Amino acid sequence: MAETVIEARGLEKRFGRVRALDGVDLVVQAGEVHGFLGPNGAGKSTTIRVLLGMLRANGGEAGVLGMDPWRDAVAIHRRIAYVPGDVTLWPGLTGGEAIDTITRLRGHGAPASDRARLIDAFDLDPRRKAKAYSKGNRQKVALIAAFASEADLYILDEPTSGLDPLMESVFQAEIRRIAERGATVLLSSHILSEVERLCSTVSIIRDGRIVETGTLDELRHLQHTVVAYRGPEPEGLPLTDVQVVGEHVRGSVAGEHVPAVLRWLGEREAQAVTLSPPSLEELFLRHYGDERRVETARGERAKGEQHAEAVGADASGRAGAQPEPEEMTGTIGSDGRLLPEPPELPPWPASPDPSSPPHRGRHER
Amino acid sequence: MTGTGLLLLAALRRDRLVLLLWVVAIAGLWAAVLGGLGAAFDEEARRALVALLSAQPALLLLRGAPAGIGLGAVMFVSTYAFLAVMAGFMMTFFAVRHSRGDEDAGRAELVRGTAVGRWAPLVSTLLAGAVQLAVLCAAILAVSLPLGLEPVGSLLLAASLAGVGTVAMLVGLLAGRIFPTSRAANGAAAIVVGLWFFVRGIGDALGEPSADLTRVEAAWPVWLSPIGWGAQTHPYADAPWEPDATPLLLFVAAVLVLLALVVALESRHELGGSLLPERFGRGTGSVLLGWSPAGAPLGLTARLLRGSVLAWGLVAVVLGVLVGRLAPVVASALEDVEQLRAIVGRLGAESGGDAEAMFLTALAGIVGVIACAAAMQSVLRLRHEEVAHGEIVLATAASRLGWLGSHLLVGALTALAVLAAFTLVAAGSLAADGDDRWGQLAAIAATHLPLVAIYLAAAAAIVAFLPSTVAWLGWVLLVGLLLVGDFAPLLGESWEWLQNLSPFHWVANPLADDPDWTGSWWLLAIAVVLLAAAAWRFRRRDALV
Repeated sequence: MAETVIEARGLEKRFGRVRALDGVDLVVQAGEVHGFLGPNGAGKSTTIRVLLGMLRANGGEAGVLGMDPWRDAVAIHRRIAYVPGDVTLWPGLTGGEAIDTITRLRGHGAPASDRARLIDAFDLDPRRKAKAYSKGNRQKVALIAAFASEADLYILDEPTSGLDPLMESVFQAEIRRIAERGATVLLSSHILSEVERLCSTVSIIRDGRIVETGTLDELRHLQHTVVAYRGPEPEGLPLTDVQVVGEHVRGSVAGEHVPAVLRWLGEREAQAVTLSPPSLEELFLRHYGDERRVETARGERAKGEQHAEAVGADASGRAGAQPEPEEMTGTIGSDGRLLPEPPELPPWPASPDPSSPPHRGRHER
Repeated sequence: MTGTGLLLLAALRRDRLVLLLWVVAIAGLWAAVLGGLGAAFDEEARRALVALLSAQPALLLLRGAPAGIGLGAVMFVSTYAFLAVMAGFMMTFFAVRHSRGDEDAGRAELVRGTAVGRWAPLVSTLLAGAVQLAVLCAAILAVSLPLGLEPVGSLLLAASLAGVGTVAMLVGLLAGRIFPTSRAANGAAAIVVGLWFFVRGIGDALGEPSADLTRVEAAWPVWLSPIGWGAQTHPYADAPWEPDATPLLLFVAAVLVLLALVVALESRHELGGSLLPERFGRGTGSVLLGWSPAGAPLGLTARLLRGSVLAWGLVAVVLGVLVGRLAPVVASALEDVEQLRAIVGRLGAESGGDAEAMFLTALAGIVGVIACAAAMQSVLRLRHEEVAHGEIVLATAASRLGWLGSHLLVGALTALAVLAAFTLVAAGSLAADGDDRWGQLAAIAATHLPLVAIYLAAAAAIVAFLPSTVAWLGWVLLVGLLLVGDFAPLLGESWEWLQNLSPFHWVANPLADDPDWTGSWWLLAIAVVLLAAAAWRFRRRDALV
C-alpha cells in the first residue's frame, strides 16, 4: 500500500560554480515521518526548495505527490504545509492575521477549532504585530499555520530551532497526531534526539549527496555497538578496539554479532555489562565529521559509562555529552537473553554476592 | 562613546558604493549642465533663457528664481533645486539606513551587544554623514573651479548643499526614531524633502520678476524651506545682486534645533522602540486578507502596499490643491507685466494653450512622474517580498504569475489613483472659481498613462531579470531619464539623440491642435513586450536566490 510521496533521483543544483546538490536521491513513502539530517550547508534547504518548485534542478528527477514540483507547483502546494527554516513574517500583520493568510493562501482556511486549540497549545498571542515576535514566536506562527492545515504532506525545515523545550513537546505531540492521521512528514533537522524520537526513517545528506538512508534500526546495524563488562578477557569474541584494564573490558562489536557476544557473556557470568547502541550523533559525526570527532564522541560515551559505573550511579549509564536514544535497561539471564530489569537494582559494586550478579545491559531497540 | 571610531570606519566602508553613486549623480549632473550650457549658450541665448524662465511660473516652481544671466547664475537656477533634492534624499536614506534600518535588520542589536558606548552609533552616524557631505562638496568644487566658476559662489553652492544635506540627515534620524519601520521612516523623510522643494517652488513661482526679466525676487515662502535658504545665497548673482552668505545662518539654527531633538529622542531610546508605537492588532485575519483569485494573492498584496498607496494618494491630493490655488494667481500675475505677456503669447502659440494651461501641463508632469514612481515601487516591492516571505507565499497555492500580477495590478491602480486624485482635486478647485479645466486636465493625465505602463513593465522586468539591481536600477531609470529629458535641451543640438532616449520626451501634448499620439503608442507597445518577457522570466527563474 506504500505509495511514494517524495521521490527524487539524482537531483543536481548548481549556483554559479557552487554545486549545492550533487545527485540527491530521496524517497519518502506515504505515512512516514522521515528525518532529513545534515549539517549546515549540506543541501537540506536547497533540496526542499527544489521539491517545492522554488528552485529548478539542473539535473535529475523529482516527484512530489506524483506530480512534477516545477510544473505542478501550485497543485502540489494545495496539499502541502511547509514551515521554512527561517520564518520571516510580514511586520505589519499580527500573528493571527499571518496564520489565517497563510492557511487561506493554501486554498483552504484553517478550521476554527484546530486554530484555537493550536494557538492555546503553543501559547501564542495572536494579536501582536509580527515585528514584536521573537524567533520562537515567529516559528510558532508558521507551525500553527502548518498544523492547522489538513495537508497530505508536511515539509518542516528545522522547525524547532528557537522553540523552548515545553513547546518542543507540543510540537512532537502534533507530529504524532498528524502521523496517526496518515499524513507524511519530511522533517529536516540537526537535532538528533528529536529525529530519533519522531522519525521512523532517516536520510542523511552531506555535501549535496544522500550518504545514508533507511530506518533507524537499519542504520544502527551498520554501526558497531560498544560493549563493556567486568569479567574474563574476551578470547574468541568478535570484538574490535579492545581495551582491558584489570577486570574491566571494553570493545566494540558489529551489530550482527551482538547476540553471540551476549550469550558468551551470559555463560561466563560477566558483570556490569553495558551495551550502547550507536547514537544518531555517531552516525551523524561519522558522515560529516572527520574520523577523529567520531572517536571523541565514542570515547566520551564510554567514559560516561565508566564514570557512572565507578560511582555506582543509576543503571542507565547515560553519557551526559550527547543525546542518546532511549535505552532499554535489563539483565542478561543465564541463557544470554535480555530480561526485564529487576525492580530494585543494587548499585554496583556494592553487591558482593556472586549468586545474584547485578548485570546491567542495554540493548538496542 | 567607546567604539565610535570603529563604527565610523565600518559605516564609511559599508556605504562606499552608495556614496560613489550619489556623488557621481549629483556632481555629474552639475558637470554635464556646466559643460553643455557653457558650450551651447552664449550671453544672448542665456538672456533669452532667463526671460523665458521668468515668464513661466511653472518653470520658476520647478527650477528656481533666476539671479542674473551669467553662466554661473543660469546654471544655478536651472540645476540647484534638483541637486538639493538629491542631496536631501541621499542623506535621509543614509540616516534611516543607519538608525531604524539597522534595528530592523537586527544589526543594531549585534553592535550594541559589543563594547560600544550608548552614544557611539549616533555619533558615528553623524560623523559618517559629515564625511559623505564633505566628499560631495569636494566633488562639486572639483567640477566648478576648473571650469571657471567664481570660487566664492562655488563655495556658497557647496555650503548650501551641505546645509540641506545636514538638515535632511537630522530629519532622517528623527524619522528613524519616530516611525517603527524603516520603510515608513524613509517615506516620511522623503516627503519632508519633497515638501522643501515645493515650498521653495511656491515662493519662486509667486516671485516678482525684474523689469528687464533677468532676475526674480522670490516671495516669502522660500524662507520656509532649507532648499530655499540655499537658493537665497544667490551664489553666482550678477550685479546689482551679490552673493550673500547670511541665509546660511538659518542652516546653523535649524541644525542646532534638530540636533537637540535627535539627542533628546536618542537619550530615551530603547532598542526597537519608536515614538509611534506598534499597536495590538486583530487576532484573526479577514477573509479579504487571504483573498487570492486565480492564484493571485491580491488581498495580501493590497494590504502590504496599503500604506504607500495612501501616501502617494495624499501627495497627489496636496499637489492638486496646490495647483488649483496657484494656477489662477500666477496666470493673473503674468497679465500684469507687459514683456511677460508677449513671451507667454509666443509660447502659447507654439504649444497650443494659454499661460495657465502651460502651468497645468508642467505641474501635471510632476504628478505623472509621481504616478510612475508609485507604480514602479509597488512592483519592485515584489522582490523584497520574494526574498523575505517567498518561502511562505510560494509554498502556498499562490502562483508565480498570480503573485507578479497582484503587484502589477496594485501598482497600476495606485498610479491611476494618483492621476485621478490630482485631476479631480485640481480641476474641482479650479471649477469652484468658475474656471473649467476638466477636459484639459483629464487629457493631460491620459497622456501619462503610457509612461506609467512603461515604468510598470520596466519594474517587472527588473524583478524578473535583474533582481539584484532592484534597489537602484528602477529609480536610476526614472530620475535619470527624467533629468535627461529635462536637461538634454540645455546641452545643445548635438545631444538631441540623448533626449530621444527618454520616454518623457515622447509624451503627447494634448493642448496641440492635432496631438501626435505616435510616441504614446510606441511606449505602450514597448511596455507590452517588456511585460510579456518579464512574466516569462519570472515564471522560469529560481525564486529566492
